[in-house]
Amino acid sequence: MGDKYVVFQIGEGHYSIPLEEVSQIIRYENVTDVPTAPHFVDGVINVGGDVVPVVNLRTRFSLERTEISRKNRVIIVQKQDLRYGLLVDSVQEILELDQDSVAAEAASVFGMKSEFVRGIAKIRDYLLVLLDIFKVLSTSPEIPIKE
Amino acid sequence: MSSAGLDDKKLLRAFLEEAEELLEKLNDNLLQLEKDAGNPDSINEVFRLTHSLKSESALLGFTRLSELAHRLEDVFDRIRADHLNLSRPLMDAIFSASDLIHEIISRISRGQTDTEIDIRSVIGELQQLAGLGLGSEAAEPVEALPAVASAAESGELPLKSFQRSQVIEALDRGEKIYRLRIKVAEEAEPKYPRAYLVFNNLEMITNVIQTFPNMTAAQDDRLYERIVVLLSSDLPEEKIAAACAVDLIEEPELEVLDKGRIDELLSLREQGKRSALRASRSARIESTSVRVDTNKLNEIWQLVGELTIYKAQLSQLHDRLSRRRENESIKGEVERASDSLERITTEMQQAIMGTRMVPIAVLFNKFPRLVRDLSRKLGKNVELEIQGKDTEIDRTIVEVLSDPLTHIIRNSLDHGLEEPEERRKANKPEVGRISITAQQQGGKIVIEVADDGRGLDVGKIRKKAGIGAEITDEEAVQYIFSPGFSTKEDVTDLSGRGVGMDVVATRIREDLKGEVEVRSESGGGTLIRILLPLTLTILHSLVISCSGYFYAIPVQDIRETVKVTEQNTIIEGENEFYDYEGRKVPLLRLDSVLLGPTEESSSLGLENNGVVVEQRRGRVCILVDELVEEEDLVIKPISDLLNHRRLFSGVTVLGDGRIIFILDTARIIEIIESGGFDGI
Repeated sequence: MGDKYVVFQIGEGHYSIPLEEVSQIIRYENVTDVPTAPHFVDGVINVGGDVVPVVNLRTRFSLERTEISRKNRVIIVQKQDLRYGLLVDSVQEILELDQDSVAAEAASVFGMKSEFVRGIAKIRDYLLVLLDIFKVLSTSPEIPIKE
Repeated sequence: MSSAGLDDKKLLRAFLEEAEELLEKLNDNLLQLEKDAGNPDSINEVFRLTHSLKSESALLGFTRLSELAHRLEDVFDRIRADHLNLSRPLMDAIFSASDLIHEIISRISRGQTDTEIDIRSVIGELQQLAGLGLGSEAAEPVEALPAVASAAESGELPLKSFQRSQVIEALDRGEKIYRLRIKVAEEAEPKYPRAYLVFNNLEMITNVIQTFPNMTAAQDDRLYERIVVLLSSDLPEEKIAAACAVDLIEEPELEVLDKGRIDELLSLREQGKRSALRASRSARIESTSVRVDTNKLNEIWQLVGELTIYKAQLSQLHDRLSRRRENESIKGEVERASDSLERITTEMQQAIMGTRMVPIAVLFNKFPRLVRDLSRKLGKNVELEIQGKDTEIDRTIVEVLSDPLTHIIRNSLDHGLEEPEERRKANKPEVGRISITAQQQGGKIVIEVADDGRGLDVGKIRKKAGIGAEITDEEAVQYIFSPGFSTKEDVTDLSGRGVGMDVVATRIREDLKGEVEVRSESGGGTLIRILLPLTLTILHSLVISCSGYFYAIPVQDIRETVKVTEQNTIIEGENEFYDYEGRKVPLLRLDSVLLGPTEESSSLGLENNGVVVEQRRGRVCILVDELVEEEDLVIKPISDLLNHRRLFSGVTVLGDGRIIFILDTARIIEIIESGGFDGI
């Protein structure tokens, strides 16, 4: 039995984070603008009374901002007391991955800096990047995630 | 019955809580006695405490613990009755006994038994120093014999709680309760061994509930002339009487107690104990009687948080409704419902918050003992002053705070305070001072540990941290909190430089989201100040708006709301001040600090709303667009992503979905006092 991963798409790239890091997946609605946030934070969203920042992963990955469509989702991840929302282009599927099928050598794929990558897996017709999302979130806003 | 008691986890937990409470009070009173050796209140209190501990632990079958408490009780009984002098060695032995009790209790709380602990040496020392025990000769004749003996004669010795339950359990088993009186012949010398033989025989065939005098600890031999035994048994009388067939035992007198006598016996309570207990309960500030899983409390807390949000929602609905003219009757009903909900929610918030908060005394009460032991070991004379014990603090904070605070106090004693000799030379009083204070200030708890010792060695700190002359001494000493500061070099070479303070700071900053700072004066002492948030707190706050965003300022930080006009504004270069009753208070344009300077913000309108905020370090007048309303806000932690300049202490959502950022006024004032927002 492998671990389960949530697969999502940003631009052309396929990324995933472990399902156990995800607390829920919601639509991009009622996002409130906030003062003094970094450029890639679109605002905050009220999730069960918690004020959760919404990180636009397109912007964080130095891609062009796009119009919000029906496909956009916000993946809520949680670490200790704090929750974060990740705005992604779309959520593809939930996938079970064997550790054997994951290449641990974190090669640079889609220009992603290797320190944010936990591994790469070949899925059917595409390459999947296993993201270290909390590392992405805790990295200073000035530091780009891609090379 | 001990095993049945042990199976009962609830009982055990209750016992442990009670024991901890007893132990803490014991320690307090012992420390008191050390200062004032003859204090009759403390002596009586210690006697009562050891007595209770003895009974309670016997009830659960912790025989070693019970024995130890018993011996301690004996010592204090003697001190009480015979005015035995509390010499320093005796005091030390008493403290060791109390330490051993502490150790046993912690073993029990870890699920171990007390049987592996050796209590003999401690007891031996105690008895020797107090002139007690089997081997030692009674130091002085006991004068008060007749009175006690007559109490025994009447057979009306009050039962202790575990004895009461023994009586009840025996009756449940269908046994009879007997009272047996025996007399040891006058020619028997000593009398105790004779009496003991009978006691031993009885123990083997019956359930001995109570004896007078006490059989397990030998007292003055003359007491054993007459013995009264309360026992339960289903054996016929003659079998019990046969147990008394020992040489030189006269007149065994056995009676079965009827229901009336038993009821009488059960209703006869230890009056002294009960009133003492009541007094001690009311004197205690702590309410530690119920142990609740913190997770459960958090769950309830979350629910109350939600309730608060809906409360706000309802009251807003009501506001909207009352702006319309129709539906008068519904309006009234909504209003009443909204009022009730508001009242209940507020009360519930306070009640639940109350369950989370404990007086900081639970932590501070450990320190007198720590200071005493350490100052002895180090050969220093120290006077400890504690203030603000009643300050309430979140339970979870207490747990984490204990170690860092202990470390700070140790440091003060070990490295801060000088040897008596050195103090004399420096023209300081020989007795060093350490003061620990706690108080609530604004939305923070402020804890200070100050000593009048030699202060930190700024030169050494500068050298070690490689600090240049551009940094003031005041700032340089803060380097003791830098990560890794005290581990870089040989530990023995660290005196006077705040050993391990980096670890302390990390715990306070990271685990408790608090702040720590130090002030030090060469030769004049060191002061460590810890600022802690009141986590999980509902803050009564003023909601304000500024450039379309909403913020909140805790009402407790606000000194006044004012109108800022050109007339009461003072401009000095780039800085603006509000003329607050003749004092210059820096003016802060919230929008330009948070959103960057704009054209609009550079000009001042005719009349602006200002909020004068006050903190320990100073004041600031915050310029805002609108004062919106006062609200009780449930503060949620804020993500670093939204708070990279750390200007907010939290965030919350109102009933209508508005997001409110809570301003960290202390941080804002600190920034202003230290030169402004540039680069922050």
